[in-house]
This record gives sequence, C-alpha cells and structure tokens, in this order.
Amino acid sequence: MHPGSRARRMSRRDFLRRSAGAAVALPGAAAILAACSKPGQSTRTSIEEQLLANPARPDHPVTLPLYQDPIAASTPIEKGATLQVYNWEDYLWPRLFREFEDKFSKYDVKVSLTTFNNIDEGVAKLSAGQVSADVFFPDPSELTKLVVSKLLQPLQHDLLPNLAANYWPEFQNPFYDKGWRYTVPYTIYTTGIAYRRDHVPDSKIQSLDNPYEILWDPEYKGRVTIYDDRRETLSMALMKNGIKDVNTGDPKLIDMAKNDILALIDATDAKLTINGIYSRMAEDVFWVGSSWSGDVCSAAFYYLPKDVSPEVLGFWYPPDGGGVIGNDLMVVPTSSKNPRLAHEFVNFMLDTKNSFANFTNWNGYQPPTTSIDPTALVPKVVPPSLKETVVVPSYFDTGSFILGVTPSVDALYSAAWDEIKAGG
Amino acid sequence: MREGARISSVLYPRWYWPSFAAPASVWLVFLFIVPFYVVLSAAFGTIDLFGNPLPVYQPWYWSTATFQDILGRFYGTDAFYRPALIRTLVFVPAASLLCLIIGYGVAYYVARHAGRRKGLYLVLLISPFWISYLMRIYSWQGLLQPDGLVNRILAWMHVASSPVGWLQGKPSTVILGLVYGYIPYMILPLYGFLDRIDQNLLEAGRDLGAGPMKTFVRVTLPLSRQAILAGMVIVALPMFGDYFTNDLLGSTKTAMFGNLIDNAVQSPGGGPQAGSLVLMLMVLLVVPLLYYLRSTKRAQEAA
Amino acid sequence: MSTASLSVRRWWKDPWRKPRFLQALTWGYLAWSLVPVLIAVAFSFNAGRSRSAWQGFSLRWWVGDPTAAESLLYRPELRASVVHSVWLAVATMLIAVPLGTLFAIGIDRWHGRGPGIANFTMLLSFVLPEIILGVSLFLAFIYLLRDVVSLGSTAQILGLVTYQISYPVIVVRARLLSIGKDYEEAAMDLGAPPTQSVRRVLLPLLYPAIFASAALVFADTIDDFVTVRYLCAAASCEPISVKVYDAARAAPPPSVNAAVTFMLVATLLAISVGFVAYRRITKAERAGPAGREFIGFQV
Repeated sequence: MHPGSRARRMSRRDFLRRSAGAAVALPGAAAILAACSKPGQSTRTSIEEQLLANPARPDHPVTLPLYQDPIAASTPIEKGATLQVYNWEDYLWPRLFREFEDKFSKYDVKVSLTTFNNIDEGVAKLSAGQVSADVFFPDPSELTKLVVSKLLQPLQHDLLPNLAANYWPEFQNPFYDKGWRYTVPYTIYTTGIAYRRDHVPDSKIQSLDNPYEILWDPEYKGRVTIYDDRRETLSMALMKNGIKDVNTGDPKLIDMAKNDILALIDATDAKLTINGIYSRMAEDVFWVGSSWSGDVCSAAFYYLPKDVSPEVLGFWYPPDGGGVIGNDLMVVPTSSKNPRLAHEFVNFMLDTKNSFANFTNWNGYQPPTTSIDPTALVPKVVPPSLKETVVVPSYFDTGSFILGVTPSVDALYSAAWDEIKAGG
Repeated sequence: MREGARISSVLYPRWYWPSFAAPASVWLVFLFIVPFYVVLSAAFGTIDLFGNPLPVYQPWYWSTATFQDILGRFYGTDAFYRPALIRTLVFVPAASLLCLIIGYGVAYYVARHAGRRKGLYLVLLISPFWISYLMRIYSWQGLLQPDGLVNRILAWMHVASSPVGWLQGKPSTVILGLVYGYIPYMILPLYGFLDRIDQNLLEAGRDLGAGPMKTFVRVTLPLSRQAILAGMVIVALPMFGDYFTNDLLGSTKTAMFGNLIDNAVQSPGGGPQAGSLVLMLMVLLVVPLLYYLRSTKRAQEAA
Repeated sequence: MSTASLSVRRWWKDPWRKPRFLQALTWGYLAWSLVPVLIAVAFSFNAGRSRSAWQGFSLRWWVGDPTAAESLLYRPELRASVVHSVWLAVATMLIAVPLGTLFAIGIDRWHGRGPGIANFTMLLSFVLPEIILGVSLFLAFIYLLRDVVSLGSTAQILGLVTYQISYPVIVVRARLLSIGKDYEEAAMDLGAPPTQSVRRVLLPLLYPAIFASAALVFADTIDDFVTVRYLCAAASCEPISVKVYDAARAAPPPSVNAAVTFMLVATLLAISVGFVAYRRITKAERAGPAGREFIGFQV
C-alpha cells in the first residue's frame, strides 16, 4: 500500500484508542485549565464581605444569608442510614445514641461518632472536606465563616417542634443567628477556675484580689492545666488582665495575653489539655485549672472515684457575672447525606428529657431550657461546692462571648497561639 | 561482578531487570515525589477563609510571603520558633550518641560473648520491633506519673523526697524517651556487623600483644565505622521529625521541630506553614543523607 | 597489695575475662526495654482506673460490665479500630512486600544509571521522618488527588505502602548480597530461561528474607499512627494506634492498656503462626543437604 494512503486511513482500532485517550485526558486537561487561572481570587459578594468585616456582637445582631432552602418537611426519613455525628470528645451521652437508634429502629438507623479535640480542629477538618458529618457541634465564633462558605444548610423548623417552647427567651432570637436560621442551642456554660478544695482552700481563692492569678502561682507547679484551645486560653489571659472584650483586635493586648500565658507555663509547667479537668482533676492529678462549668460538674457526676465526695471539687466564677460565657450549637452541614435524619436527631436532643439526662448523667453542661430552674439545681443535681457552675440568664448581659473576628485579627490570635505551642 | 554483567547482557533483554524495579518506582513517583511538589505548591500558595491551604501549582504564581514569614520566626527579632529548632539540634545528637554508646555495648556483648544464649538474646532484642513503639512509650508514661513506679522507687531509696515531675517538660525525659524508642534500630545493624567480623583479625591483634581494650580501639572500632554511620543515619534522621515522643512524655516547653510541623498542620491557616517547615526539614536532612550515600559508595568500592 | 586488689588487677589483665560490665549493660538494657511493657500489660488487669497505682486484680477492662461500656469487649469503637488496624496491616503487607521484593531484585541486577536514582529515592523514603511523608501525602490527597482518592482507608493504605515499601527492599537486598549469582548462573547453564531461573531458583532462596520483611511490615503498620492520623479523620478509619495515641495524650483508662495488650498478643500470634507455616512449607527443602543453609534465617 502507498505510505500516504496508509497514513490517511485510520483503522477503527486506532480511532477508538485515540478517542478513548482523549476522553480520559479531557477531565485532566479541564482540571489543569482550571488550575491555571490565578488562584485565591475571592468570589464573595459585598454582603458576605460586610458580614466578615463586622462580626456578630450582642449589640450588633446578624441575620445570616440564605443560599438554599431548608429541606422540605415532607422529606422521608432515610432508611438504613448511618448518622455521622461530629462532636467534641465525651460531650454526648453514648446511651442517647442507642436510644435514638432504638427509636428509629424501623428505619434501621445507626449512629457513628467522630470527634475533634478543639473547635479550630473541628472547623478546619469540616471545611477541608476531610470529615463529612450530618450533625456538627460548633460554637458561634466560626459560624459566619461556615455559613458564608456554604458549609451549613438552613434548618427546617417544622421538623424541630421541641425548639419553640422550651428554650430561654435569650435564645429565641440569638444575636449571632437571628431567627435560628442555621443553629439551635445545645448547652450553655461559663469559663471559670476549677480547683480541688482538699489542696487549695476556698479561702485562698476568695482572698485573692484577682482570683485568676491562682493559675500563675508557682506553689502549684505541675498541678495546673489550661485549655488546649486557642481562643479560650487567650481569653482567659485577657480576663485576668481585666480586659472584658475577649474579641479585641488590639495587637498590644493580644501580645500581653500571649506573654502572660507563656509566663504561666513557665511558672507552673501547666499542661495544655482538653479533658484535664473532668478526668484528671477527678483523679487528683491536677489541682487547679481553667475550666468550663460543665467539665467540673462532669468530674463530680461521673469521674470521681466512688469513695470521694463531690465536695472535694470547687469552682470560681466572677461574682459579678463578668467572665467568659458561651454556648454550643447544633448545626447540619451541607455535606450531610441524611439531612432528614439529622433534623430528627437535633429534635431528639432538643427534647428536655434527653438534654437533661445528658446534663446530669454525662457531660455536666446545662442546657438552656426553661424546664430547668437554675435556683433549684443546688443541691439536688449540683453539689453545693460547685454552685458557681450554674448558669443564670443574667450572665448573658454581664458575661463575654468568644465570637468571630475579622481574618486579620484571627491571624494575630493564631500567631500568638503558635508561639505558645512552640514553647516560646 | 564482570561475570554477572556478561550474563545479564547476553541472556536477559535490556528491559528485563528494570521491569522488576518498575512497579515500585512508579509507585514512588506518584506517591512520594509528586506529593513533594504539592508541598512546595502549598508552601508557596495561599490560604482560604478558614485558613486551609490553597496550593498553587504554577511556579510563576508562587509567593514566598509565608516562607519568609516562617524564616523570620527562626532568625528575626521575635524568633519564637528558634528555641524549638535549637532544642531539636541538641536533643537529637544527644539521643543518638546515647543510642550509639548503649547500643554498641549491647550489640558487642550479644555478638561476641553471648555463646549458647545468643538465640534468646536475639529474640529479646528483636521484640521491640513488634511490641509497637506506642505501647512502649505508653508504658513509660504510666511509670513516670507522679504516683508511678519510678517515683515510688526513688522515694523508697530516699533519693527524692517529693515526687519528681518527670512528665512536665523535662528535657532529660524527652531525650531518654527518644533513646528508648529508637535504640533497637541502632542495635540491629551494629549486631549484624559485629557478628560477622572476621575472628582472625581480632586474634591477630591479640597475637601482636594488644590487650582487649587496645584490640577494641585499634581493630574493632575502625572496622565498624561504616556500621556506626549506618546506625546513626537510621536513628538520627527520623528523630528530627519526631513529635510524638515530646507529645507523650514532654510538654510545650520541650517542643521539637516535629511539633512545629504537627501544630501547623492542626491549626487553621497552618497549611502553608506546615509546607514551609517540611521543606526546611528536608533541606536540613538531605545533606547528611548525601554524605552517607557517598561514604557508603566509597566503602563499597574499597571493599 | 591486698588480695582483693590483686585479684581485681588479675581480672583486668586477663584477655579472656568475662565482660561483666557489658553483660550487666545488656541485661540492664533488656530489662529497661521490656519490663515497662510487662507492667503496662499487668495494669490492664487493674481494679481501679489508674495505670500507676495498683488497686487489685480485675477483668473489668477486658470483659467488664456491659452497661458501664468501659471494657474492651463492650466498647465497639475499640473493637472496630482493632479490626481496622489488622485490615490495614494485611493490605499493606500484601502490596508492599511483593513490590519491594521485585524492586530489590531489579536494582541488584540492573546495570546503568537508573538504579542509582531509584536506589536513592528508596533510601530517602526509608530515612526521611515519617511526618514529612504524612504531611505531603495529606496535602496531595486533599488538594491534588481530591477527586481520585478521598481520605479514608484507601488513602491510608496508599500512604502506608509508600512508607513501608523500603523495608522489604532493604531486607531482601541484604539477603541477595549474601546469596550471590551462583545459583542462577548454574540454573541457566542447565538451560533454564530467565523467568524460570528467577521463579524457581532465586525466589525460594529469598523466602526467609521475604517472610522476615512481611513480619516487619505487618508489625510496623499496626504500630503506625503518624501517616494514618493525617490521612483519615473519621471514626470509621481510625486504627487502634491512633486511638491509643489520642488516649495517651489524655487520661487513658486501663481499657486502653487492654487494647494494646490484645494487639501485642495478636501480633505475636500472627508472627508465630506465620513462622510455623513457613517452616512447614519449606520443610521439603530443608530436608536435603542443600536445605541446611536455610535453617535459622537472620534478619
């Protein structure tokens, strides 16, 4: 055959092979082309930029934008699904998972828990797509970022009947999410100082002008713990210096807080932990530490050895109610594969019976439900020595929330935390 | 060697042996070399709203801002990463040296003086490999607790009156922890070499009047140079990236370079930082590695 | 001079003396190395929650009260992670050992430029700290290969094989160096084609090394937590090593001791079973005079 004609006539096999090759290469080429544009170009609208530059504050409430409709109330419950719950470690009573599975046993439901160590890690993994969750438990500090990045889906309130009547008036329209578009409250808590009364007498803490300073006391070298959580620990240092605005963007103040924490670690060899209070203070390893109100209650309810009285634990919170206050939320991410089931779970946890059981049997964190009378908690539920852990509604006016900040301020806090973790 | 070359070229096609090495090589290219490029892209890239890294694959868009920032944390005015680097440069050689001294002694004893019990010793020496590093360090954690066995023994011996805080960021705890974790990797290559030393060489030394000490210093030690070097490389290089020993036995006060990387990976916005730090670590380590390779090659050529 | 110092000097000068110091050092080292593990195993039977204060003997952490959900048997997440660990170890072993063995054989025989580069890369993957590999694979899977491989068991296996692949290479190469080319050349002189000589002559000679490297890879993978921690965040792919690591940084109850003891025993059993199986398979070869060479493989 003439060489030219052979070149022109492509055999069918050749054609198939080449087109297959092109078909395989096309997505790759498309990816490369997409990657070729200059990266990091922001595609945010002005509303979103506004929200990020002016984060929610109690005196400046925020309505989060909607990008999609909530799921229809008539969506059927997913069958044979595994509900992925993404939460802090030891924060939800495992028996409630079993009860939920039993309640929905005719849909053959299973619950699986994935945990994170602190909120930064939780948000980072969710936003990077490393974890796919049906229900997530963040706090308000990263809420705007999550919504603006379209990582959360709006809630269908018709599926959450337990929410409406049972919760504190302060939560009927929270400033960080007006109208409860994306969130429902899970627990409320304060951050104070937990201590073992058999090693640190009450009088010692009461006598200090600034009780926060007990954490810096070299007398307790090796017995101090603070939280392995960026914002929480730096807020505590700000509070110690009398700075009530724990969301400050002032570099000098952040620097001062950082130096104080470095001095704390130097003076007392403090350990950065998340469960140091509830498990190890109960085991007499730590004697004093910065603590969430629920952690020390949990130590008293569950982790203390059988023969030790809960009176051995004490908790201090500023008497004027001017300390750090917070509440954790339940949200449903957009990546959820079982949104209807997720709503059912949220509704299940909003049931006052379940949230109360979670509080008293497991995590020690008070849910903000009207069915619980804070004044009646002591001494039936909470031991008298821990009466400061009870959160009352007035704290929401006097206390300081840890909230979102602008990206540049966030970088300041991150740099300060990096330095603390690097040993200074 | 020449015979083998002849046979290879005559009876085997040229692609025969390379095809054996091909699957693993392809694997390494895609899962070892390419990810390094991603590291470069992340180190010189940007971050998104949450601080997750956005790698930039085209070198012309690379920005060295993060990298310079990180370098500044090492030598600038507020160099808060520098202590971790200095600590690593102190801990690793100290731990490696201890590994060498203890490891050589043990390997020497087992290789030359174990006699009938050699098999037993070998089994005991190999056991750390399958006991799991985590379990061994975890066991030590239990012993070093304030109310643990170590403190109890010290109290009983009246050496320490109050419990010593072993796990509160003591450099000695971390160094000993590193030794504990890595010493099996030193002992086995040394043992392998010492076991095969030609007995004649040692006897020659003795015949010439050298006592045991002198024979050791003049004959055994120089011969073991290559094995010692191999052991040091296998032990010291991975130690530079160790972060878990400090995590489990120390505190932030004894943070090492590996902790800087691990913290960066876990923190929001830390992706490019982690990439830059990994880059720095690789540059730091490739030099001793190349030196080791060259000396191995020279030793092989001499042999 | 007193009798005591005379005998000491005699002992010092004797060239065939027993090395008491080294003997003490070796026994000291072995005790230091292994006793803590035995203590941790013992504490998995502790009646209290402490792992440093003995409070009596109890099986509560092994098969305790189902409602308390604190024992190894009744904590499904611990059991699930044990299963996951074994699965990862087996899969990694099955992929890494053949790839590594072939690579070692190829590198040993290949002449030219190639082997130097490939060899260097392999050595690099052996001595580089694992965190470097973990971070680079993490970034690669999250960003570059996001649509090809997502984080999870697959990513973990890919990462583990990459980290472990150098083990079989080193062990097999050491064995190849001591075997030499004589057997293959003999086979070829007798007319065997190349593939046959490799399969029938070389591979059986390498069985001890292949088995040893498989055992090493298995044990090392069960223990690995640096790579797998970065390559999977969800609970479904958390192996027991990550659980132990997280627990060890916190306040581990003795059920973690029970879990690691279980892994220890399981690994020991696996290696023993494999060794016995290996001895049986190679029994025929060991029977003859040529087979006596293979008894007692050396790592």
